Amino acid sequence: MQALAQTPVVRAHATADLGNVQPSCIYHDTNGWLWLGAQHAVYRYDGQIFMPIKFPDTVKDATVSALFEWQGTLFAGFQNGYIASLENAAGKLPVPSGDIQEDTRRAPALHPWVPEEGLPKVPITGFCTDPQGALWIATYGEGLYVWKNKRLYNFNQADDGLAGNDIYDLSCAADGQVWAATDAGISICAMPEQGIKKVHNLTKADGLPDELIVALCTDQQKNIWAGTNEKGVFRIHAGTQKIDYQIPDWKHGQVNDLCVFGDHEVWISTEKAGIIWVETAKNAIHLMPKGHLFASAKVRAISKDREGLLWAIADRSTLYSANVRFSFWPTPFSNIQAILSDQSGRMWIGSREGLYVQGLQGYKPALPKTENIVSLWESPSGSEIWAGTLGNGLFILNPAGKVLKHLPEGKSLPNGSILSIAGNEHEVWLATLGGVSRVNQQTLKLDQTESSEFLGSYYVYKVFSDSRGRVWFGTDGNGLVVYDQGKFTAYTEANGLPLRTIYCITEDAQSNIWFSTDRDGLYKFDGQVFKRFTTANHLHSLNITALATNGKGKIIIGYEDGFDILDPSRVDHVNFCGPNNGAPKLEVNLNAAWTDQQGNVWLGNQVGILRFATYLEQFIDDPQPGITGVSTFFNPVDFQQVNTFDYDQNFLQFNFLGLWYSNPDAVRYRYRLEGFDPEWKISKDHTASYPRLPPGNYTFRVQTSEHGNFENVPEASWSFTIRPPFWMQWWFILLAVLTAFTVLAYFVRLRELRVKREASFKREKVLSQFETLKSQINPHFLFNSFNTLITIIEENPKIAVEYVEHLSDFYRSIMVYRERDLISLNEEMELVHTFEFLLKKRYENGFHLIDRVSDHLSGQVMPLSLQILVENAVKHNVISSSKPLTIEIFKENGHVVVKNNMQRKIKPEASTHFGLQSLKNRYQLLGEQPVVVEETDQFFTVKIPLL
Amino acid sequence: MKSFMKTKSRWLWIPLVITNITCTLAQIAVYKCENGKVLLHSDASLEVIQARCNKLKGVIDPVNQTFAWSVEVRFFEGFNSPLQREHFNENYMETGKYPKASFSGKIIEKTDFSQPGLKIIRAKGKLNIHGVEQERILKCQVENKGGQLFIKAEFTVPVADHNIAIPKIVHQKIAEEIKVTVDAIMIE
Repeated sequence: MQALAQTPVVRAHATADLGNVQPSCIYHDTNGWLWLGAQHAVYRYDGQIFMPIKFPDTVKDATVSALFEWQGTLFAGFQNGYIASLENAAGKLPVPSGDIQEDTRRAPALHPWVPEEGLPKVPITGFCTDPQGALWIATYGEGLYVWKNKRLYNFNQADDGLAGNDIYDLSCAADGQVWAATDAGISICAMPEQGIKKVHNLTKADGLPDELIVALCTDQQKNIWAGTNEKGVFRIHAGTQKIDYQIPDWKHGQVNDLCVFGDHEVWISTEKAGIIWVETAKNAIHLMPKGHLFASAKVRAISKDREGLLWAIADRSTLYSANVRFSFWPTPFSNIQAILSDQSGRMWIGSREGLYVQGLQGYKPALPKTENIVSLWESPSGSEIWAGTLGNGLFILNPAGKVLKHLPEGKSLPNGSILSIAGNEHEVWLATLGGVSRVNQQTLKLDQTESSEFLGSYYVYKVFSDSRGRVWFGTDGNGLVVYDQGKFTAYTEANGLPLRTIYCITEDAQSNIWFSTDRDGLYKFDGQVFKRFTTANHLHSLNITALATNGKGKIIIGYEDGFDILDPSRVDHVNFCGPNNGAPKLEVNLNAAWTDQQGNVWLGNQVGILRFATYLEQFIDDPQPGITGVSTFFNPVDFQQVNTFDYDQNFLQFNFLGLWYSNPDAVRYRYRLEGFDPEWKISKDHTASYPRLPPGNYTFRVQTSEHGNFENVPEASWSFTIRPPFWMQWWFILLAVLTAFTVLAYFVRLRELRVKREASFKREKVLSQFETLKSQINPHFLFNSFNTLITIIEENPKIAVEYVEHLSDFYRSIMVYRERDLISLNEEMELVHTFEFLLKKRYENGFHLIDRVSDHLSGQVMPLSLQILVENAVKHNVISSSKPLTIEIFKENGHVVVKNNMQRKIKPEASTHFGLQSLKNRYQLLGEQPVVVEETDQFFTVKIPLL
Repeated sequence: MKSFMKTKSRWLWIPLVITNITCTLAQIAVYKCENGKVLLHSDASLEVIQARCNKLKGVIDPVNQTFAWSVEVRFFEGFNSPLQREHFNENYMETGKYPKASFSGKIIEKTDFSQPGLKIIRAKGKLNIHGVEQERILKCQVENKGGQLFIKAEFTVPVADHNIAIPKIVHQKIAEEIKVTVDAIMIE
């Protein structure tokens, strides 16, 4: 006998990392994560790594006894009554490194949960939530607590009529009420409004077989399943609160935990028999085979995840998972070729070693002699089972197993090898190794006339009657043939189907016909078009041996080494089931496939039968991707809050994970950074790094798949922005352009002004020089000077010489200084004194010049500026001994001041007023302080800025 | 099994009841208090109001683990103004109609009050304020020092829970939740 993994195939998870810590409770959150509570920490498990989360400091040594997710927050209840929580776990937990010590250090601790009312002092045994969103807390000793609108209420036995204060388990049922398991029955509780308590108890008086209820569970209809101390498991309808099912003849001891699949199967962890499962429709209790891990394990708790796996925590720190959708029964006979589950749910199995029917004590032979059974059919009324043999014709039995008729090969049956049977109340089609026979079900009269042309003497492997009354034939030699409304049609080359050999046929929920070929793949025919599926469409192989459609409309494709599950509603979505993901190794025999009334698919092989179960619940078919961490320059980012980065925070790393407990090693990732990657990248790695991203908007998308097929798979994505540096922001660029423009304009303007000023300064200077020259060689001045000279030559020739020297000195100075822009005050004063000498000789006592600057001669003035002022004073005022003109020169606040007493000539000398005006202009052009002219009745004052 | 013993323990109540009756007959000591302190604290955005009263009466029956507390609302004083106190008594608490506030019920955890030392216990009972009863669990600290019980408790009372109508606008001056602090010494 072939070595077979026992089913369910159990995977023991390596909990060595937990350091012999016994997991005490197990929980699956809404995102699919598995959580374990233990003595020193809570662990989040991804199928490979345990991520530890410490307790708060206040509960160092306690054991977690219950876990629950409420409003996005994980709650942990402890043996000592303590409660702690972890908000938004996904955004806060670091990416696990696998090093448990390191991860413990990095992960945040649980927070104490402290309601004003205080916490229980007895073990927390469970949580649940009602449709109004209140959090219910079960305790062992203090009854129930409800956290509603931030207020904690208590339900107990004495005050509120609870059946007992020791609650073992609680569950919210379809009626919206919370059912609590106590040792004196079930208490059905509700708080419809704040502070309003409703309690109703179910006890023995209400028909409970055992009042000591230890476990509760809801099914897909949210009816309540209860596990008891002595009397096994029963179901209570949530609406009527009546027991509507009980497992009969219970002898497996106390129920520790239970878990319902769909509405007709319950898995139970028992005290005496390990884990067992019960098909309630058939009242069939299935014990695990001897030596199976589940048969002997002391299992504390079991639970079901969204992939359809059953999880169990057992003594000695073990964590098990098993895909219970696959169950395999070895049969005492080998080579199974036909399977049928009749209308009462009984299995009929045709093998090379005979026909067997399921009885209370296992399978028993249904025919007196060993026949090689290759096909089975049940009449629509359920009154007859037809069994086709290889070579020995047809047997017709009643459901009790009595042979009604044997139709051997002969006149009424041209070929005695019946490979397949299909039909309805009136006519039954027998596919044989020599064409097809149509038989009247009542009279068993044969009618083969019209079919010979199409089905002639071909081998016909499969006959299939579909939901529209058509009958399909899979032939060897003439391809696919259909019988529709009295007419046969063969699909040949003319119909675009160059196929000769068809092995298997099935129909999906949309009435498409699916059929398999001899190594040419799978075809779908929608009535118009044939679509071919090959390994390019992710089929496991082209060697297809069986086809069936399960209760969820999925196509099950049997091979010689496993089977595929194809989802017709999704493009090319195929999952292979083999030993890697919890299915046993299987070689499916030709057309040894059957879909039963519950939608379960049965496949037969050499040594037994496999059931691929269909339950009411929708389990997921793909790894579920999630982004678990984002970091910039290796610093983790709270990516649920932050999604904008500075231009220099542009080295991003993404961590992601496809949760797939069924087969975590097989998960493949396909990711793409939209806005950067032109193509998808496929990897097995959980990380993608992007150094030096330019500023822009990006979306990181990651998809997961178990089989490397990324068509139509779930996706996780996260969008973010890298901000451009401030100098590339539009406002900055605008500002910079404006500023540059302004500055440029300013400089242009400044330069223009300077050029203009220089030009006028030059002009002024030239004019001034010209005027000065003109005035100095003014004939009047010369005439006066010569007159003076004449007077002194006679009187004092010595002084005359001196006078002429001064006069020539004066002219020389003028000539030297006029070219210069500025001269020192010292030089100017020397000039003024020379001029003074000349004037003194002429006016004698009529003219006084008081020099008060000679002590501090620092600073510069424009050449001839003071001289012109002195000259002006002389020019415009009366000068005589009786009315002397006094000119004072002194410094004041950085100015040189020339001040004379005012005694205007009655007849003023002709004046161009050029001197003073030119002086003013020149100072203005130099950009200096202006020349100040003050005129009063007594004094005429001019202030020249000292430079 | 532990749970089995529980089931059987149902029959143990008969002698317990007898003991109870005997105790009541023997007038076993209860803890009493006549002058406990109650502090009300309203912390609204515009005003903080505090009022106190030291005429809280209480009794704890350590055998039955029951208790009863009550206070006459009109004895509260220490408001920010006499007018405020008048409003408190007449508009909000309606002390004419509902003169007393009370809290009575059972202690959740079995507590031996005669043991010296500090304990945190939870009292589950009916809190009656303004004639409206609400079931509450109040956490308190109990310390037995020399035979006296020092009780301290702090809890909040949402005014809406007790049908105390405060106009929306006044919530800027009166908090929607009043913080209550109790401090009492009980003598056997």
